[in-house]
Amino acid sequence: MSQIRLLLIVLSLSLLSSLSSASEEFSVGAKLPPLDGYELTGELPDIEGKVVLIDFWASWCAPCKASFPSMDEIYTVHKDQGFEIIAVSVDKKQALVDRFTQKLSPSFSIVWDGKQSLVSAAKVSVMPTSLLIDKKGYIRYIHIGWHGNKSIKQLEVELVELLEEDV
Amino acid sequence: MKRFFTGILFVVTISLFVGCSTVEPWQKGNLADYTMKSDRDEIESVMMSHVQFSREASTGGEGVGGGGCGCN
Repeated sequence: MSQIRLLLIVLSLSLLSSLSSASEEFSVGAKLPPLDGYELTGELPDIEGKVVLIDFWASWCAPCKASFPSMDEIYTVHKDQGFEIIAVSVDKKQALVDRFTQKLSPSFSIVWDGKQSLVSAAKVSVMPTSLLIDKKGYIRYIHIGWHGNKSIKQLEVELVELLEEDV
Repeated sequence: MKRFFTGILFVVTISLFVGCSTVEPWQKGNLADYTMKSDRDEIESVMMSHVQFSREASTGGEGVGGGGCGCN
């Protein structure tokens, strides 16, 4: 009987290990790890003491494309208050990133995660996914997907809240 | 006992080497490509649906008016 129990434990463990779950390193309440350790191509802005939105996107992702104009608008309004957006492309070819950014010409920072190391570490469940980081560097909100006006309003409310907080 | 551990080893090995793999959300670039669309040729799609509706006598099934004769 105990042998069967042991077999069941081994089976459950092997099954659990094969299932992927959301990354704890990139969950709400966790401190954002330094981004320079992920071999990102492109210039990372200074985010010390700023509210930061890290947005994972791809050129083939239609909702990502739809989110860019609104994100650009939000960025333009709040950038002087200490807000940064880092849009992390997970495309496999840099040419796709360049073509996309040339077309939409966003004013916020774009970096390319060509090796998909950051997105793999973050284990996003949906494209696009964005992480809202407070001034102390803690992940406070995670946005899954892009839902037009609903996402814009939610982001505005959260952003105002985080911008009002002290460092 | 030896048989039991051989059994465990077998089960664990099988579960580790199963052929299934998960395509992560950030790896779906190829699946989202235009060439992966089955209805990417609009003219062909129209022609195929016309042929199908004619053969099935079901014109109007997609919301288009008609009596099922396939003549429109």
